[in-house]
Amino acid sequence: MAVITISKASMGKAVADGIRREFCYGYFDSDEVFLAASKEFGVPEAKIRSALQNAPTLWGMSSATRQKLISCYQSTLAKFLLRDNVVYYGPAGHLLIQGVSHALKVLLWPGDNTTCNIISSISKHDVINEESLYDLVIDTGKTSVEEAVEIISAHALSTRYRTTTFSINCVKNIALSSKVKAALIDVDHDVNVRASGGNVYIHVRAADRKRQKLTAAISNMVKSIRDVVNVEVTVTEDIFQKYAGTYR
Amino acid sequence: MGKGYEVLIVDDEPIVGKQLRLALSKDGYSVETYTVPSDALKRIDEKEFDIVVTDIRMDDVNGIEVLERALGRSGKTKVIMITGFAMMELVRYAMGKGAFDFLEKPFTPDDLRAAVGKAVGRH
Repeated sequence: MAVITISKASMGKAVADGIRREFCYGYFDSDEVFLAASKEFGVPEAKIRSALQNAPTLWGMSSATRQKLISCYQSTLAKFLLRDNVVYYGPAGHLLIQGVSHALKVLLWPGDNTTCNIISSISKHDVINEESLYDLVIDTGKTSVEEAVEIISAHALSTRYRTTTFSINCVKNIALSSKVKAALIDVDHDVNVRASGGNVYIHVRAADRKRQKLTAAISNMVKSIRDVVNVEVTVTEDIFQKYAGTYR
Repeated sequence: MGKGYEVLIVDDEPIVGKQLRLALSKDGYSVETYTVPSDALKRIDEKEFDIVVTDIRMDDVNGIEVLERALGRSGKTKVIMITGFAMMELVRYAMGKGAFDFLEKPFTPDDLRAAVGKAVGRH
């Protein structure tokens, strides 16, 4: 059956709790993920929380640090979702767990007059199917907790959201790629990592003269990460570093 | 473990069918393989299979048609979809149509054995 992610919203916890009881599902929220990520990656919980919940500021943490901490959270969240038959209540589930067919991503939308009008014009049932980020958007201004639980349950029971070998592998790939990304962001904060069944494909940019050394260093670093079977590193030339080097 | 279970495999790449047949035959399944999907459809009309394993992207008939035909023939048949072009929407579409499982190519014979074993377990 599906795993269900519910965005943080005023009645979100009550809805998540209702679904947990309806299906006898496991339940976890962002506090548990923050704690587990902090333990696994050895980073203070408050920092991960800040990276995910606070908007970037001019003098705040760097973009690279934020990405690293978010990757730590993402990896841990994916591992939690591997338990299957669980409800996650917390931020960014829809962004961090993309492409997983058995993840039903729900947004509880605190409707005001404007949004109510938009929603009403789209659907009679106060529900929108928005395939890109969410599977289900529910207007909490018009829907009670019980009704929201009923709507989500009906969707979760659809065979469309049934767990498959492919979708479980997707979650495993997210867990591994974000773990590798967290380890490599210090090397290049634009690092691109894709994982598939233990094979990890990495793309970084660097000056040509650093290519060989960097490839070897990354391969060695990543091979030591648990669940990594094979590493393929692609380094493309960083034009800025190339010209900066010529002026040294 | 697979003794007595009838499996039909459809994939237009002969090597895929050959390898999967080998893997499942070892476990005792009775396996028929087809590289021409229309031939597989004819066979499905003739005989009820316990498990159908089908590629999705094929020339004249796609895997969704095989899925529909197999389930139309018997609701007991478990259909496992395989493809090198797996995407979330395609997976959901196939599962919504009644597929039992979905595997992305390349996969190992053990992956298929596990999926078929699961299907047999629910038979």
